Amino acid sequence: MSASWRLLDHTADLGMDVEGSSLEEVFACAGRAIFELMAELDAVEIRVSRDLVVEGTDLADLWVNFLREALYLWSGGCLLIKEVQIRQISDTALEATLSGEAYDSGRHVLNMEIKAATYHQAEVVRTPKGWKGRVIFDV
Amino acid sequence: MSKISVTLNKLDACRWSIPRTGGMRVPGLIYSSETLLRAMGNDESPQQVMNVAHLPGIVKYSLAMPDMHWGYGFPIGGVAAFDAKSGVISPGGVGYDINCGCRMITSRLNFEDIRDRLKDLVVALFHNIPSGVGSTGVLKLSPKEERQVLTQGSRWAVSQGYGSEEDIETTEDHGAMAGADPDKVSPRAIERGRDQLGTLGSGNHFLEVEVVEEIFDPEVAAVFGLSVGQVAVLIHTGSRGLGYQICDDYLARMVKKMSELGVPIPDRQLACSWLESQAGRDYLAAMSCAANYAWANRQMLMHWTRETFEKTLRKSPRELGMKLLYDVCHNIAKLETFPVDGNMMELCVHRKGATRSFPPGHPALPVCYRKVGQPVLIPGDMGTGSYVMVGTEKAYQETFGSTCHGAGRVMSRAQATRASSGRQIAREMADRGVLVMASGKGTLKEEIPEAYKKLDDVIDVVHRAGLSRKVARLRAVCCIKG
Repeated sequence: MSASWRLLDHTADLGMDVEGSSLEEVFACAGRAIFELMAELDAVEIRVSRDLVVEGTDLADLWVNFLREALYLWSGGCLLIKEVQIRQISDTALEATLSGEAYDSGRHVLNMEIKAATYHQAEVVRTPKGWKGRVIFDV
Repeated sequence: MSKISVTLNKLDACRWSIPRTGGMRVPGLIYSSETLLRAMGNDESPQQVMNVAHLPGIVKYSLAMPDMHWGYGFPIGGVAAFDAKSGVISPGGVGYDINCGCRMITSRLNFEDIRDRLKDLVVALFHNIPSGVGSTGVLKLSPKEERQVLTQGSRWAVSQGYGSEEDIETTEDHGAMAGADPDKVSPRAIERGRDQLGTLGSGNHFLEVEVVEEIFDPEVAAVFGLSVGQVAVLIHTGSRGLGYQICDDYLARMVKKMSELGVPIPDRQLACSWLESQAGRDYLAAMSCAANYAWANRQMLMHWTRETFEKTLRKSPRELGMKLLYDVCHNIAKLETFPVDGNMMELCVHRKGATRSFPPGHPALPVCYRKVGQPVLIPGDMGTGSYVMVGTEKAYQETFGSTCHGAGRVMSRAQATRASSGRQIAREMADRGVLVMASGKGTLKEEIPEAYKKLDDVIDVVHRAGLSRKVARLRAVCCIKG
């Protein structure tokens, strides 16, 4: 099974549920989903990669911290990410490689801005089929 | 997520209390109406009011204004005051967009003067005011300049030629919070702030040309310089990426140290620190930097608005008479003094989607408004127009000098996008007499008027409850969005 994401209806902000058979899949799918929401990824090519090492006090904290770091690749580095690979993950640490290219206003279309991944209702839990993560974004 | 049942006890036509249960330290108090409460459906904001009541040092009650709606951690429209000596400060109680707020510029123009030039005006404003997702400004601040922005706020902008000394007088806190310390701002936040000063941003932020439609309080309106038919401009934006990053940085830092607080907190997004701890003091100093950045931002946008009016209408600054009525913030935490049980008490008042509403005579008010009270600016949703209200003694006594901040969403962005599917929103707005230009392709659909509570209903509650009084209503004639 490959991981998938869907949006939750929330009045003020944007919620997302991600399901997958492994933690790696769920995290990778969520990292990519941020960029699918923000921009049209068809026009994005893989030209640069960034390695992230992220820690958290528990799985939910790691989840928020990972999404936070992925978002910063855009907000601090103007990168649009198309591929996410989780190389290693435990409950409190992960290593990932995120790949994409620098935003180019001539070729890329932005849809919206995600300001932050919040802790509100943030969780990563086991399901009969694998894992499910939930996050609410401030947009 | 677990749902806790919420008991709402009606106190009078405008107020509902939530009794103390479980770990709540104080009761909840919600300002609303039967209509607004019904319209909220299963919105979880009343439960969030209860969650906030758990935080240490909270005084009197956990409050919510009638525009309240669900907002991770604290509800939007929430007000909470903490004992400055033994209470906490919470980045989530301020929100990501630190010092999001609005300013209104009045003018000597009448609607007749711009009626035939509206299209030119909206195009010129859209061209001259940078807006949209990740928009960057015309400036790239040097590290030294950015530090000056963070400590001096509006004054920095004025010193660079954006506006005049008079503008500072009619800005909340004179456009700069004391105690701002750029050393408490992370390199990431500094980096994000470098090229976003002088930009509107995206989402619900906007710049709107409005016309005064109705005056409710002629005496106060005269002091504010408002009259029927007059043209005004409302600017609604905040501290951009710098503010988001500061909120995020300090949430992360405080979540890590939650156990040191020694009290259970019902939601990580409510992470907080003792106001007198290192983390608490550092956050306040960093938050103040973001507040100052936002004031400088709105000051610059106002300057370009004035220039755009001058060029487009070919009128001199004197003929236009574009004067800053006031600038208010509605996402902020501040150290303020209020009467509590007969004694004056220093409090850290968190307003997350709530506007300060100070009464006549308050020393924080500019001299020109001290007799009547603080101008309270309440923006509506896109193209609806806005209200100018005035601060009251009742708000000072009852809500830590706070009132509502806007219309408040009732539809999620996804719902709004579905509801507007296949519609030409810009055309619909034009038919209603509002010219709209937006840079984001989804923005207009997400921000349709139906997605918000009726501004009139919200205003009606705070007016009847006495938290701020109606002075004037303005309708929008053009609007630029991010």
